[in-house]
Amino acid sequence: MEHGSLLAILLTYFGYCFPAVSLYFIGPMPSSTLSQIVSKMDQLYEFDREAVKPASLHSGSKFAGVFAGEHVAATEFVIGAFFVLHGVGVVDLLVGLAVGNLLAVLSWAFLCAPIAVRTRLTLYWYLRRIAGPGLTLIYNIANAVMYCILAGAMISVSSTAIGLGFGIPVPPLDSVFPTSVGWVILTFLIGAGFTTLAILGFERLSRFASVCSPWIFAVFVTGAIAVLPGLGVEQDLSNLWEIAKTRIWNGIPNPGQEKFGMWHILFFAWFANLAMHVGLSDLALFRYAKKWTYGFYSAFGMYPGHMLAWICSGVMVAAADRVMDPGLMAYRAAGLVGVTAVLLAGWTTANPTLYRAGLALQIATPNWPRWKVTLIAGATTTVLACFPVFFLKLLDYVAIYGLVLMPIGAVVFAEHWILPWLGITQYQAEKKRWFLNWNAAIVWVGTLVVCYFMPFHLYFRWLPGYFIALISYVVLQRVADSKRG
Amino acid sequence: MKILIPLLTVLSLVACLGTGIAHFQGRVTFNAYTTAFILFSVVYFVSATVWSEMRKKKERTGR
Repeated sequence: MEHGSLLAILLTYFGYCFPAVSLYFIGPMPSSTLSQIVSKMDQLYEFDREAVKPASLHSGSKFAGVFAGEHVAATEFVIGAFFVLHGVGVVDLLVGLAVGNLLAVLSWAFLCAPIAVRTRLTLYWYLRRIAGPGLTLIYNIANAVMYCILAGAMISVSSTAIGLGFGIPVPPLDSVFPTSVGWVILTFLIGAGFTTLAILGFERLSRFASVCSPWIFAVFVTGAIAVLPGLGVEQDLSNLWEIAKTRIWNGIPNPGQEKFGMWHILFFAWFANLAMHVGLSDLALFRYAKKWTYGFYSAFGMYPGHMLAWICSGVMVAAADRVMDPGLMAYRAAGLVGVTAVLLAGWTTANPTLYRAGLALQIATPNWPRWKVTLIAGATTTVLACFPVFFLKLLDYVAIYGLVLMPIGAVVFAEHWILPWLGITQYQAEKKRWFLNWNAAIVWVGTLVVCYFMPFHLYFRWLPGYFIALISYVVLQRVADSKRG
Repeated sequence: MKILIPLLTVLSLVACLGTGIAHFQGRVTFNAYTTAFILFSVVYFVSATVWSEMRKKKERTGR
């Protein structure tokens, strides 16, 4: 079994079975406790319970700004570099990125934004109507675990920047466990620092993040330009294409790395934010859109953000002897500014991730103050960050993250568009006051089980999985509806 | 100030990019490039923070 698949199993089960494991160890909760948790969860999200009023809608430029700012993160230093290490060719890279990002933009525009402007609700409240508070609770916990792992990867990336100054080596590509005491201490200290700052003030940090993001983008572009002479590119750019083909994306994978082609890149670019577009998490954002066509503004995040940043980090890693060490490659490209950019990119993106993880975890900890929940999320994240596997297998993790949450997007899409079209009663969970819509739960678990056994690469499994989830949910709802008469 | 600060923010960011291009063209050494990059970054962070505060104040007061 390939390494990525093994990781896929572990992560999927870690993220997905957490509620089941807790049920096993703690035992079934009394219904009063469950009601308390659900009531607490509702209070947490009370502020966005009401549909957005017309006066609160935002202009298109705001969406362009949000997307442009959010999609230049610490992980971009790793993703683009991994494409190089996986031996993708230059044409495959460019075609894959162009088409994959286009498909991501279309997913936002045609799947996510239309539902958002029709309902004006967050996924939390809309899912509650469709799947019941029980499944929404499980979804939240799964999401929290996923966020913690993602924030952990960002802390690890930042550690590579600081570790450079202290001579702490970055763990090799096949590492699962920490390879030195120095790495553990460093990651722990950085995680503790990020958590403390997240506790002290989320909003102020968010403002600082918005100041940072154009500069981080500038560091990507400037760093890539500055290392071009070292790669042998002439000042008139006459041999740029040749160098790109032979010295950067030369089609030769690093030892131990799987060979990637155009389809891998295309699918990766498409599913990099799967939970947000196909998974419909961005209902929270697009419910403020005046028109569904605002979904196309996601192109500001996909092209100048993902596409260009991934290309730039690919150039930088090629100039850093094709070694996966974001700190080192940024240092060689832009000196201290590069190192600072890696640290700040990790910090500013780990901060909202920690916040979201805390918010999602708060449901299971009734009456706990915000700081305590953030502390728990931060501590969990810090421990995870010590394990280099999460950042060294980031591409696989991103695939799993999207895959795990994707079936819920399919359920919501089917409930919103397909059920009324077929004359099947909508929102049964809300009308009948079900705690859990079993059909949705079966579709969620069933789709993941089927995806696990699919005989092809992890990156391609979500697409057939989406249609399986969509069709099976419609069939199950149709059967249940006809039984009810 | 209303024009100067945003202008300074944008110009410092463009200057950051310019340092890389200057190094690529062989006009400045790597050390000079990284030093200039640090200086323009400091200018960017100061002016962008001030600009952000100005916008926040404007949103609060409506002026």
